[in-house]
Amino acid sequence: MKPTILKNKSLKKALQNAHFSREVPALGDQWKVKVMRRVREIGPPARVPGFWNGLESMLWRLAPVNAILIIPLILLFLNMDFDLGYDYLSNLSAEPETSSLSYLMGMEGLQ
Amino acid sequence: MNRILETNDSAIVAQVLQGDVNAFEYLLNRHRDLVLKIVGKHVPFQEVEGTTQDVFVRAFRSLPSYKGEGVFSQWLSSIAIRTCYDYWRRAYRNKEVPEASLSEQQRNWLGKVVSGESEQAREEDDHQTEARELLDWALSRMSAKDRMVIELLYLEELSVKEVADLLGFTPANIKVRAFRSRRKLEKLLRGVLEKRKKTS
Repeated sequence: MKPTILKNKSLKKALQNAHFSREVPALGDQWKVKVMRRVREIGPPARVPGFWNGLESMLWRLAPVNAILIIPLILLFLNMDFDLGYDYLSNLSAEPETSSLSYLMGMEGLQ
Repeated sequence: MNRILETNDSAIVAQVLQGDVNAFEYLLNRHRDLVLKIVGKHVPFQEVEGTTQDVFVRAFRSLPSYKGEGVFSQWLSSIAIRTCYDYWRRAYRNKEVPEASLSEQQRNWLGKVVSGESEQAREEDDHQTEARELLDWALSRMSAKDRMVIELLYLEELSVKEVADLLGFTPANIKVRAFRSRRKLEKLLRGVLEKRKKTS
């Protein structure tokens, strides 16, 4: 349905006049007192932190958790055997012509 | 004190954010009439005072988000429009919107204006009452979003972008809503005219 009544200029003008001529109450000094009372109850508005400030505060909040986690992680790494990786590397560097993936994976002789 | 009166809005906002809450009163005094004018067009007479208060309290809470990029009055106008929109959303949700009925006088007035029967039907002060009551009747049958879009786009002739910025929606959303709300208003007014034909 194509609007046609709304395109009537007389009607539109009349409705616009009605819209713009609405009566408004006079706001006395009491109105201002009420607004300022509410505003003072709220107190100074809190500043919105910028992106980096927000990130920084979040990271600092996680610092105690990180500190607690670091100690068991250190203990774990100290007890782990790191030689395995070293062995693979040394094999590769010592005998490059004979070392192969099958040898490294312990599958030599299966062919 | 005189120095504050001469400073611009951004400087007063900065002062409030630094903790001088009382400085907000200067913004209140400066922009009270603007907010009153906006709110007065969109909410019922008895709700204007309370809604205007809400606008300024909401603006106070939102001051940290005012970056000073645009004109303060434009920013405040947007808050006023959104507060009016929230008023109607609450009113519809709580079913506080009275569904007025149309009198034969109002139906006749609409018929005369649309058909161009009488130029007087548009101009006389008495008929302004008819126009206002017809407008209130039609708007009460629309959703909060539809009525705000009709008021801003059709009656106040703002652009789609301006309405989108004021209400905080996308222009695409406003275009779709504008099409639907105009169709709804058209249907309502057409219904009034048809009823007038039947009774006459």
